[in-house]
Amino acid sequence: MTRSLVFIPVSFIVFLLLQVMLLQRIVLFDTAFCLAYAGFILFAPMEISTVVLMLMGFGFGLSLDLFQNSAGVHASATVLLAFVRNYWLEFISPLGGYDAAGADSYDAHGLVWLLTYVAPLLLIHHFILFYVEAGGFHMFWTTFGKVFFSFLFTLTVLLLYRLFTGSRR
Amino acid sequence: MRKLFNFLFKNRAILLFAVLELICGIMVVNSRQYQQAQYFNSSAEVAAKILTASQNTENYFRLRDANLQLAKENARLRTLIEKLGKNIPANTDSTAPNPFEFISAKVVNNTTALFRNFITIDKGSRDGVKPGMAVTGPNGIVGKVKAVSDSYAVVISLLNFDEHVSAAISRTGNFGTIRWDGVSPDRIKLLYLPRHSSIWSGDTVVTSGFNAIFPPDLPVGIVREVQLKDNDLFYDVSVELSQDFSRLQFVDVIFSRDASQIDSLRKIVEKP
Repeated sequence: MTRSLVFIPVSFIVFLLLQVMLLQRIVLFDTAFCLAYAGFILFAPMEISTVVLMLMGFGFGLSLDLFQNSAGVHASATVLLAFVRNYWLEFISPLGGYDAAGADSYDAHGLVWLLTYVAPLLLIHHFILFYVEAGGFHMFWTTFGKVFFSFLFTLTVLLLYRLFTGSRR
Repeated sequence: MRKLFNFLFKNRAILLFAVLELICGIMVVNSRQYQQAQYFNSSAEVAAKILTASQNTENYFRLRDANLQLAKENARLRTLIEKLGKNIPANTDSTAPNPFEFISAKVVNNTTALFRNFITIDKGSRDGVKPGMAVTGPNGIVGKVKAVSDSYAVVISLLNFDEHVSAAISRTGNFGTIRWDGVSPDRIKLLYLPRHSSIWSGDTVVTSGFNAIFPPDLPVGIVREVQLKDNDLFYDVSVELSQDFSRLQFVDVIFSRDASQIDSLRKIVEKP
């Protein structure tokens, strides 16, 4: 628990600054955004309860909205991501459950597991984010393009980040 | 009573989820109404400072580009002076104050790929910037100031679903409204141009000056595609923006001396 108390504020600041100062400025072909800040929720320690995780997501989303003048857009997506995360983690838990190691165990189950964990959650997050930003479905295909290509972009970046920095035991 | 508390506690995750999403929803809806701009935004001192820090590095790599843009603007303005120099009306009252004043500002943050884009600039209420003022770039209009802090301001970009500006075809004087359709950051739509008016591909679109915010005859863009179906009341016009929004580095905030007078006059007139 004391580990989380240090880990969460630090990763909050790191993910936020990285997103605002660097990733936000990289938009490929005006469609593919890199929303790697989702890693703040996705890779937060596994033992965090859904309630705390949602409050974290809300706070983080609003902070990001501050920089993009999009009050509530990022927050709505991160809150949903945080709400779904623990249920999904439970659903795809490997036989015998996760070990009690906590924060570091995202890398312990192999790349396929990591992909099944990250990809659907990321897709939900992106879907909500871009359709809320568009304010509905009236630009369906343009928005869908943004969802899809940003999803690929973010997924690649997050997996690379995990491969290079994820701690292994 | 205990049952109720038990129920609430048991379902606390989903209840909190519903409350948080409701708050988000209210914020999304409210922040999109032009009048209610009082939400926190990137003109906030800390946020703007962080954005400035990262923009400074980027600007350094784009100095060449900025120079080229300024040189081009200089050339454009010189030609304008040449043109005007020959036919300045003889009885110009030199004591009359200029109705529009310009405040130069640096772009601190700018997006073009979202559906609702905003620009953060480094001039705020301390420099005389107020919400509602017009903003123009070196090649064409850029947007309107939405919110200000002491030394920063947020501009609602032309590339934003919620932004409308009155514009006219400079050749004929027929006017309509420009609004972005969210498809491409270098194209904008000219709406409500009635079918009896004449419009050609290649026509210049300028601000109409009807709203007292934008001075008249500022460049907006050039008409590229015109469509008129049999049953349409209005043309479907696609305009190529003369300002490249992705390269915006410096803008001018336009301070209109007459805006408040015109507004109050209009209010008197519109009262029943």
